[in-house]
Amino acid sequence: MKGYAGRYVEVDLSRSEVKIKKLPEELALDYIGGMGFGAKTLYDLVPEGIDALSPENVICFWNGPLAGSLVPVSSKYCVAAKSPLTGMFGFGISSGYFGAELKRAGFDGIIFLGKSPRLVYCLVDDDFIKLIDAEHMRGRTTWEAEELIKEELQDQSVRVASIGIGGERMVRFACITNDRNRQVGRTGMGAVMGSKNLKAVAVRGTKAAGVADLKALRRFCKILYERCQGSATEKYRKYGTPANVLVHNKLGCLPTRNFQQSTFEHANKVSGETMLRTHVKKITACDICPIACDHVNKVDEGRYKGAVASVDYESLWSLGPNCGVSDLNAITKAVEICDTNGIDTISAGMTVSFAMECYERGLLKKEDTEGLELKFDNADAMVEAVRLMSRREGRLGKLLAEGSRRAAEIIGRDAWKYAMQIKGMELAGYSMRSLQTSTLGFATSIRGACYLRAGAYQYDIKGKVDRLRLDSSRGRLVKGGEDSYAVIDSLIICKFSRGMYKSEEELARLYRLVTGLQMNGKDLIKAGERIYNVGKLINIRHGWKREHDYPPWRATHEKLPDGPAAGAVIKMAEYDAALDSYYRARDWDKQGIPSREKLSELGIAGERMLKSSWVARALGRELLSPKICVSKRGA
Amino acid sequence: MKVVITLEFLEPFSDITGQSRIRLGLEGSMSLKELCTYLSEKYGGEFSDRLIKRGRLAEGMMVLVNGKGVNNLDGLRTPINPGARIVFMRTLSGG
Repeated sequence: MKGYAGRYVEVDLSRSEVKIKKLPEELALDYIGGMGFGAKTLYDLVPEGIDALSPENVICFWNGPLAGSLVPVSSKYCVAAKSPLTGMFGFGISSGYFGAELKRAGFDGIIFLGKSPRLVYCLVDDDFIKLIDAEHMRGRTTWEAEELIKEELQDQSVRVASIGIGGERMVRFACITNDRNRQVGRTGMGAVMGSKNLKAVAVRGTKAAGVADLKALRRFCKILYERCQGSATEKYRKYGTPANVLVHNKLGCLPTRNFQQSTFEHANKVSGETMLRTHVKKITACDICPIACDHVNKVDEGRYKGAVASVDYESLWSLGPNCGVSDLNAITKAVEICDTNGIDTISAGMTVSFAMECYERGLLKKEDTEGLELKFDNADAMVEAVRLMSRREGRLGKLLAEGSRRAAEIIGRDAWKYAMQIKGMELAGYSMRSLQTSTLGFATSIRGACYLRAGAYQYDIKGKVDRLRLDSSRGRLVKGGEDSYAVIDSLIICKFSRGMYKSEEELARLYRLVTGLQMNGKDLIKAGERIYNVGKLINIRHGWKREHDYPPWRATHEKLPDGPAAGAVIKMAEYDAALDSYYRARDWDKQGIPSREKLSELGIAGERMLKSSWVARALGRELLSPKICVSKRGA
Repeated sequence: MKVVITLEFLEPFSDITGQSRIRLGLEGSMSLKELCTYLSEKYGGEFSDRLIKRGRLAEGMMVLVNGKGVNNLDGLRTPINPGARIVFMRTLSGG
């Protein structure tokens, strides 16, 4: 078995014990790597009922079989744990150099159990694995931790994934930062590291990652590199993902002021084109990437002079138009705070915009906001709220560090209507009402509101469906996208390169050339379906119900007031039909529970397959239901 | 009859035309394809090379007529009526 290192590390932080374990070949064939390995790890090791921030949680880092090879944009890794934000399957994927370095150290992954009594970092230096005291790094930013570790090891080439003060203080959407500008952003994996007193993981490797057929792989990769330089990735290379701002705005799908509107009157001020001209100082690439999408901003003047941050579309949108902010200096500063203190920019911006709407509606008062005039369009208030939240400081910081769903529960009254979240995770920058297939994909996503689980916006945009309504044709589309993306996130390759592959057969060919394991396109998609079903089982175990697969209240109760999609709203009957069609496409029952036959067909077996107690709970016959989770029927 | 329309160009078309917005007064009604032919004559062949491949809208490119994607209308045969607002841009893709 080539491509895979064939081994992974298991670290018990409570006992300071390290074990090296063999990676079974059947695990590779069934779950591929990355997200698939993460799902299987949580399914096997994380019991029901545990607190995500307790020592009983498990956090695992997995690269994919392509990491460390010459396959373009394959140096990625996935981190998975029970999420402190959603209480369900949490995971995030990052790029940079860390994933390939872990493979070069001779490992496919690292699993952390328990909790260290002191703050530590884990060094994986080929076969030398050690927990090293990191108490002197307490309170340090992610960038400082990375630098300190490199200095201590006297090696600038060591790769570091670390948390900042946000992770240490367990902000529920704390992220993990590696290679300075890359993040495992979503679902609060940094908070889980913080709960385990794990400040960082540092990796250094000297081994070559073997491949099965180097000659043929080289020929195929040459073609892929040429495709990566083509027109499909041109905008990522020139403008980065912020090129999307004006496109979203023209389509009426740029969520503005906490999703109240779908166009931003100052979009030109925060467009990718403007940012490139006024703020971008450097364009960088991840390991073995011919695209180079990473646009690094620097603020040259004004109150936020000196701020430096890599600003992508989602960060720009969530802290910009979503908060009514059109000041690129303030947005860059807010992203810098998020990155260095280690919190997810999307959830950060969305939680601030939630608080802004609560403030404007009188649900929050000045005494709740540390005196901030927390109104939309107030750039300085946005930056200060992000700073407080990232450090859990003050009354406002402590409230917002809980994420919008829990903050809404604490605020009470109608606040839940303005928490733009699904399963507890805040939405990304795609309007719910003007991209309705996309919204179905956000809602069925197993990690909470996410555009990266199904990419269903593509069906809305390509004109294959009417994007302003839903029907029973959408379930099959979303299911197809989810299975395909589960493969991409398990191999793991960058989604920006997905257009370089003409079919699943090309991905399978790549897999065979690297690993020597026999898989065709259908096998890969079947693995994707298996991974998604295991993710669903994890969620059912931790309290999922059908009502968690619904969009926020606003999507179904308020018509869009502006833009080319003015008047659009999601009709509940259409949504119900679309969700039913999704469950049918998955061979799940009407309540969204996988059948035992389906699980057997996918080879998901064993006594813990699907406990009847979990099903009973999902059907509402037991306790444990999050108080606020859905918009259904406008509760 | 004079048809007055507004055209907006996002990248890459703003780079090709050197403009972000223009108003055009054209004689008679026309289809989107005829408009593209006119714009190619005005701004050079790169305009249609980027926009049209094998007689259809190129993958990754998009034209909005009055806020609606022409893929949802009649493609390149979509009629351009007086007062139309037309946007030439890339399609939305994940970010």
